Amino acid sequence: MKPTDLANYWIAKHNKHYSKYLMNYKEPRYDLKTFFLYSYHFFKTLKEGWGDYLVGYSNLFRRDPADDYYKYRDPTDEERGRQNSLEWVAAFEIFAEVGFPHNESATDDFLKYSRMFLEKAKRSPSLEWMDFILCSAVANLPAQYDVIKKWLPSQLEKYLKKGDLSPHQLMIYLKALSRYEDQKELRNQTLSKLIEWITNPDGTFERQVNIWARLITRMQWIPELSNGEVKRIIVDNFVRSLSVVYSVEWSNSPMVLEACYLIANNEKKKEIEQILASGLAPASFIGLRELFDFLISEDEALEVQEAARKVKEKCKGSISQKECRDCMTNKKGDCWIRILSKLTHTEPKLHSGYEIADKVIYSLQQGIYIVVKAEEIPKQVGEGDILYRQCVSLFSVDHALVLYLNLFDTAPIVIEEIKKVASTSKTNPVFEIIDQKYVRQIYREYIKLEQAEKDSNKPEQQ
Amino acid sequence: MISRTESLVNMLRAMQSCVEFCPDMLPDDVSLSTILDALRFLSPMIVILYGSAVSHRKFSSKRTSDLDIVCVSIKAAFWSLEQLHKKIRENFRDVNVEIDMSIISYNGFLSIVKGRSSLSKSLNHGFSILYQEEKA
Repeated sequence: MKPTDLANYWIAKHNKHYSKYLMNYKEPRYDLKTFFLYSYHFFKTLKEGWGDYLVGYSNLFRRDPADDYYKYRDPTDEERGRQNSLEWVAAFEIFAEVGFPHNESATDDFLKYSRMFLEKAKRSPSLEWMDFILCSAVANLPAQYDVIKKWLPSQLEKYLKKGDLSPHQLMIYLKALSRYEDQKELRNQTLSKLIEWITNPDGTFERQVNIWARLITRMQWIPELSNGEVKRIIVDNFVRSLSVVYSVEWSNSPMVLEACYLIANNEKKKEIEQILASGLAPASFIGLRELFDFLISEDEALEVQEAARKVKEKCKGSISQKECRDCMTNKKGDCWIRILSKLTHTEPKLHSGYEIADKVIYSLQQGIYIVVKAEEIPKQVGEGDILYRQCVSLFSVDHALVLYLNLFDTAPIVIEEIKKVASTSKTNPVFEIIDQKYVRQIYREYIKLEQAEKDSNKPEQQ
Repeated sequence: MISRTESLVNMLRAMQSCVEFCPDMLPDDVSLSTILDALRFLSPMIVILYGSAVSHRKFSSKRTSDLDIVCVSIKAAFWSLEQLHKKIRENFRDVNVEIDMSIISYNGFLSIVKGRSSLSKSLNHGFSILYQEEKA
């Protein structure tokens, strides 16, 4: 499998599942949760350009997971023990990364049930998967599970004596042992077993590719694995395994892609970044769904582009609310106010106070505005000044959400200047661009609604 | 034209567990305006009070007098929730009662009410609409 194919595979999965996760408050199960956790790690590695996703992920991870959700995740359950254990493993890592849910009851319940099940795991440590949940708790949230932390080393000794441990087990043991200062011998013992596997790997390439990827992405804080010969073996084997497999487990795909990215040279890194930039739906786009229900990421329709460009708002300066409403009722042509009104299920609110010339500010609610600029703003000195001043005036509202409907590809410098002010403003505003792609989708949907209305009126006219 | 807020409120009012707000649901030192002032920056669509303040049922042995509030806001999708919660904590700094706040986007709230989340179960025990965004 080529890294570029893997990137496309991950993007398709991500675009599909991210918005589903966002819109569905049902807590995702292990596979999906792991996919998002690993995607979060990948975004952290990418950093530049994808910061919005880190915020979006944090919001998702910290929402209330339903307070009795974890009540039913018994790791010792006969049927679902594996899935439940690994779900706890992912949950511990997630909360260590982003913090506990904002809702205090949700945090309390999570801690309550996790302690309850960790105790249960502690009482049956030799059951399969118990080592994962116990080690993950200590590795990620040692302060919350200090009872387990005190007890774990004695159990790890027993695990190590048992032998026949997978590299995944050894890796999580090492992560847990990193929380102790007085367990060097146990650490060295574990590490030597892991290095033994690295130098004499076994298992299918499908299985191996996940292990090598984990070693590259999660274990490089261990000097013995991040230098010299061992590192070379890890990278070589990862590349070899990936080249012979036809697919990777989808939940692990972001971790494998992250490994590809980390070992790639600058040119290959850029190649992956370009694929992401062209295929991955921007996080802000997902936010726009809160306003426009119909937005879907795969819509690339260009046919409405020209039509969308031709729509111009026709509001005049100092228009009153009544005049605006009258115009809406007895329309003399499409205007963006009408379009926005229809699609956001809102009535236009008084915006004359903000209005200058060809620019309109559509006030969805106090503090939420859509700025429409019906003329092009080329990159010329002085152009965009009015837009700049008006947007900045909106930023004076505490936590203003200002959405700029970019109908004409406004010169980036104008946008950048406004963004700069937004990012430094004490009132903490957000300035988002609704760019051409979304403008087309908005207009497309409006046309559909108009057509549907016309069709529904036809029989009556006849 | 029926707004999203109105349709949300209609849906909530149709639920049996929706009760009219009475000022005595709130502790003495917290008024309705204190809550709404603190949440104004979120441009809320609706604000809901639920939990023991409304249902008079206690599900947690730990707490005695916290206020469970849901604020539905489009803004939840655009800011880091951490930042918004920080601001809310600041706004409630003079209030002595513990406030358990959930900030949820419009779509998020719809899926909560329709789904079987903990919040939807809590709402089934009783809730009251403290505020709804007014029509223009």
